[in-house]
Amino acid sequence: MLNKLKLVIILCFISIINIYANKRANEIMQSMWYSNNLAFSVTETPEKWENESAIIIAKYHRLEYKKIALSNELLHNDYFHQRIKLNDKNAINKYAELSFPTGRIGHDVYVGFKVIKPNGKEFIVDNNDAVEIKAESGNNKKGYMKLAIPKLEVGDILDYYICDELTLVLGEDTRYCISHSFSPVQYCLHQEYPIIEQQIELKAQRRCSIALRSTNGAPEFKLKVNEETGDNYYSLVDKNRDKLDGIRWFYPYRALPTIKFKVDYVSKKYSKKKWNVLLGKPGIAKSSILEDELITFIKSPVYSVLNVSIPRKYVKENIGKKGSDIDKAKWGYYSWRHYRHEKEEVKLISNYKMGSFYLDNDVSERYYLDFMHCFLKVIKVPHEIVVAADRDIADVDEIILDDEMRYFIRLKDGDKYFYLTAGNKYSFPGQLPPEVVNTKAYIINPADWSIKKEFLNTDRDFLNTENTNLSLAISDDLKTCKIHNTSSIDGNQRHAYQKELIDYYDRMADEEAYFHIYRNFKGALYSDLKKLNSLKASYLDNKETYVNNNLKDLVVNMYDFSIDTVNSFICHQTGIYDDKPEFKFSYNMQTEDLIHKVGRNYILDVGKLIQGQVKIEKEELNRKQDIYMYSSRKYNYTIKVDLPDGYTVQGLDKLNINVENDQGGFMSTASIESGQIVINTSKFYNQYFSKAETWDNYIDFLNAAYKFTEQKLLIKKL
Amino acid sequence: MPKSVLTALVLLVLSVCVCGVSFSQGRTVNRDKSDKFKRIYDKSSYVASQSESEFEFVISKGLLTVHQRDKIDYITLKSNVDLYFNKFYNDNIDLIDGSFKYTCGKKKFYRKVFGNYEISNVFYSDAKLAQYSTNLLLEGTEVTFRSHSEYTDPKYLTKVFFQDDSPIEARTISFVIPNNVDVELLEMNFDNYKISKKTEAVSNGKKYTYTCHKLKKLKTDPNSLGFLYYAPHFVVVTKSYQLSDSKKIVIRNVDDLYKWYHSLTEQVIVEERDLELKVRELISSVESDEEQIKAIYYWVQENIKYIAFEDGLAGFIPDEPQNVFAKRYGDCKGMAILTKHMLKVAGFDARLTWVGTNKIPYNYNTPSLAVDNHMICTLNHNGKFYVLDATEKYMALGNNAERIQGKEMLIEDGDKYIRRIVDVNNAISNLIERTETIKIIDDKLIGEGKVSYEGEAKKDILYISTNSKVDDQTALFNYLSVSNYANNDDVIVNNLPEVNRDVTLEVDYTYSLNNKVTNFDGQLFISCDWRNYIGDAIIETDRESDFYFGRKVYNVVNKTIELPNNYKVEYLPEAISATIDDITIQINFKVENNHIIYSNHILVPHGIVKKEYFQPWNQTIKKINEFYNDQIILSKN
Repeated sequence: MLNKLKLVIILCFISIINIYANKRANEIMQSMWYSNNLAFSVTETPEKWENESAIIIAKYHRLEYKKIALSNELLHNDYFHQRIKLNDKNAINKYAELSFPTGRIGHDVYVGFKVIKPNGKEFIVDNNDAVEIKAESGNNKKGYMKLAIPKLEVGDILDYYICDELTLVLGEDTRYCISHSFSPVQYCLHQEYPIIEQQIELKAQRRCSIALRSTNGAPEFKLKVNEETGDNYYSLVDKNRDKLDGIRWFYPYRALPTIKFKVDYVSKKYSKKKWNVLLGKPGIAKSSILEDELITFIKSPVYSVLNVSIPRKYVKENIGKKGSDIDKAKWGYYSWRHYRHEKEEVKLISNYKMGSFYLDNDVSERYYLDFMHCFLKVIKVPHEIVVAADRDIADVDEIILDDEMRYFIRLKDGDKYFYLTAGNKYSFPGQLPPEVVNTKAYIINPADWSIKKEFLNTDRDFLNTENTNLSLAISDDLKTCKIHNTSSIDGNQRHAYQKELIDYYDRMADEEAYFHIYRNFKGALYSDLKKLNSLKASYLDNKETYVNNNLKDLVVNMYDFSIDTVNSFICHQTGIYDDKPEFKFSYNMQTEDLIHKVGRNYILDVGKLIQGQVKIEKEELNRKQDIYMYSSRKYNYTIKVDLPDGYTVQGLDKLNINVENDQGGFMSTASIESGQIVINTSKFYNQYFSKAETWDNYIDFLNAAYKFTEQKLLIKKL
Repeated sequence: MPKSVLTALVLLVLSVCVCGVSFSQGRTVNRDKSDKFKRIYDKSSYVASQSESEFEFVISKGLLTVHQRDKIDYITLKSNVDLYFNKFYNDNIDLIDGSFKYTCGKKKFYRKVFGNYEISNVFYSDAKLAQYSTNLLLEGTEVTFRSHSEYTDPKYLTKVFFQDDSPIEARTISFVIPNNVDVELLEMNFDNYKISKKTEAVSNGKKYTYTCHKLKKLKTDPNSLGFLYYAPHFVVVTKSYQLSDSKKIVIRNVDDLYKWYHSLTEQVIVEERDLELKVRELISSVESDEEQIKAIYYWVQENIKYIAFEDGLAGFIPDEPQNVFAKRYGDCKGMAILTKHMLKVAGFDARLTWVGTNKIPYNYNTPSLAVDNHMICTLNHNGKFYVLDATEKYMALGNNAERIQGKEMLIEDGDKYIRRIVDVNNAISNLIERTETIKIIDDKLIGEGKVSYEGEAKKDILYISTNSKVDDQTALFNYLSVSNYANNDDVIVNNLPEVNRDVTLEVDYTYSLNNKVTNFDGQLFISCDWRNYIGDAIIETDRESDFYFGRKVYNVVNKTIELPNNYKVEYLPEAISATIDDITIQINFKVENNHIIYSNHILVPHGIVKKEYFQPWNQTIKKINEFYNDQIILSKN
């Protein structure tokens, strides 16, 4: 009897849930498909876009955030509605199979798909035809739904919505549900297809703060009131946007109308914490950061427990009071870097499988800022705090989110500045990340908490320089080229090579000159030692193979000729200290694809030795958009070719090239010196940003470098 | 808290962390064994030292099922190995159990993830995958994977392989078959392997045990027809079983196979009325039978998008044709049945037809679900059978897709069936022909050309161009004209080829190229064929299978280069003439009336380089590359 009663209660409960779900689904369908939004009744598209693959007639995106009163739940609703005209098979293929999230407890998903034929007839796709793709592991279940859209033909309009209503549980105990940050959103109003009209609405209620900003000429969000509910929300309407083309060296967020926003929930109790100063009042949009707010934010350490004893002790013991402030800061940096990475050995030999205790402990920039500021304050070294923004994301005047901020510390070094940045295991002090060089930044002086804006410059023309020396010997049968490569890589570009080619043991070989190195797995239990030593021996046995394989992968992708063997890698300098900043290494490679017999003579594809070069395609020649570069950079090559006995060379004259302008350059010289062909090339990019009008300058030197790669030398029998 | 206590606590935490991977090296690791295997399997991270699979046929409650039990002993040959075991199941195969343990019997932590297995080009299927994974830290670690699954219907047990994802030192496959169950084990590709067989009596039946040693990892060679052509395996044909009161038929022969297929297609409810309006519209403006057939066949090709559902029996039963028509999508069965019924509405005799693509080396002499993997429509018209495969977009009527040419079809014929072979086209049906006339002016190559495509290439180009955005279509035809050019070169395509399956696809173009002529002190060095056709077809000689181009190859290039005034030919690259098996290659230059005539003819009549010809083939390719790298030299008179 009791069981029957339970069953009845459960069935009633399920019925009630189903009734509610159906009612809600119907409400959402009404609001999406049967609202007064005229943009979604359009069927005609502008003639100017008739050759486009598809045209977004209308797009509506509403995001809602709300804390439930007296509960530990946070609601996040995401309503997406799009009406798109499909003009070719490419678009049909793209929209014939759609996917959306699987609903589950606490995550309701409502979808609707309908097709409008050119004659105006509409039909609604049966959502029950959707199939679920799922994967399970223990209690973790993941999945998504797939739906094939029927009857889709060129010229049809697809009108669909995908709406998520998500309930986030902040924690079991409401007293500790202090905050939650939703992922920041930034997107360009230009999309893959042209858009007739798009609307974005944001609503944040009950302890939810919203930061939002329109940039680069995007329409502003306007505060509106929902007449039915009386709720405030922010709305943006945008019309007539051309499609976004994929363009080389282009930052859409900096050049095209863009919006960004982020919502944060903070409990009332914690809302008054100073580090929340960047958040606006709940429900009211905040679109800028005042200088005072920034100072308050920086002044209030996000990480309150900071133990700076390691760098302080090292500096005290090794630098002493008489050392310069730069040396104190620098060696504080190095000692902390060493501390953060000294236990990496186990991670390396066990390949991340030994548990989180050994995981890499690189830190966030904010933690780094709080830590280094605290350390420098403790050892009484004057310094400034730099708050910047990556050049591809925003100008520092436009930042509204803590996610956009980069944090550094700098010290006065004569008339220059010495920068300290968080970095990685290969970073050293004194270098600025290229993504902020030449950008405007806030400079905050913690001595008096004054603030100013300044451009960040370095004293070096090129932060990234690669120097490569190639010695090429042609075999006696003139079929094979043996090439000895010596490379020296400076700046940010070296990290990609260091990551693949040097390991913990290489770094510690350098570190032991300055720091005590824990060896023999000190601290591990006796029972573990045998295992750890076995892993280490196995790793070291295979290290040479690992490195040469990594090197071959790198090299094969660099050169436009087939490479048969790569070996004999030697690391000459790790490039992890500021007094020896270049990563230097050498190796040998061998190829049969560089010299070819032509008649009784030979052609040497000498141009291919400077690696593959940027090829500007014909359709790229006319450019209307400004040019954005990641960094300035320079690539130098010195190539020496031993001329085989009994042969001379023709074609050197074509290797003397000199194209240089404000944007960059490519220069090469070729000569015969002591029986050797000697070729020097240099290619460089000067600018971080250039106006579109200068594009021809880029084409000039890029074409020159590309043309060089096609140059050949005639190795002619005497 | 005293410092020593704190230190002890830290060490305790450390030990807990490290012990998470369970250290008891003595029993779980066998370095002597791994050292021995490392010498044999030097490229592998781990090896199966012993792999046993048993297939037990069991009759229970009047139904025949097959229990598969696997036991695989692995040993690692490197440290820190992630070992995965994938176990597939579906609506007809129940996965009962699966687990890793140390071979010594101790528990071993492992993960299990299971869910849908997404197959390329299939929108949804009942195929599911259980992936068992475990990390083995030390070299020489021995673990054993055990699993148990059940084929609830024996006809779905079709193939059993000896090889697996890792090399196997000793492999045993056994079949336990009761006396009242009739099963045939067809031994495929056993010739190159030393496989021993043992038969022993077991209670009420027999146990057949096959053993093989030192097997390589099973892999599909690139550019191959697939491992069914070379990997040793069984095709299991479960024919029938005897109950106390009756005999149950599974699939004894092709009659039974067809009977089952036909019973499934008979279940499809067909409403041809839904198709009539469209059929009348399509054929109203054309008169001849052939034009009417084309109108329907091409409409299905173009308007029915390939979206495949392979869910249980839906993998064998076609969707209703009116559904496919209404939804405008379907899989091969859906397209076949729609083509059939639209043709029937138009008054033609069209049939559903089963066929295996060329990835399957069997024909219907082997009565198994493993024989076919595709459904098409055949049309019996005026005594001729037309093969209509609407999944092959832009295939002309009368042409057959390469992947089914020469394959046996099972064509419906009421309660009976017809077995026929799909016609095999010769290589000229895939002809790609390029003709250019070239002048040399100011060290530039100025050319006018035409390239024409037939067969498979034409079909592919039409599909890509009609399914690309407008900008990409332009790029495609530019590429077909000149494969690689710089921004200061000029390439102009003079025609946008029409989308017409029934005519040759032709692209007319002109070009002016700067980087094909090099002037060394007045001597002109000219390269005139930069596509390097088949130059990259060097074949790895240690592969298991023949090299397959994916189609029959017939490629012809003819270029005529006008000698510039006051220049004479100083040097022409040496001609290549090779015959390898049935393959012929002729590449040469000759001088005729102030012109250099370049000719490049490559014919691979079956699209295949057989394994025994890899060496001469590679030698020829090497010569061809030398030829392509060589150049014409002109010098002043």
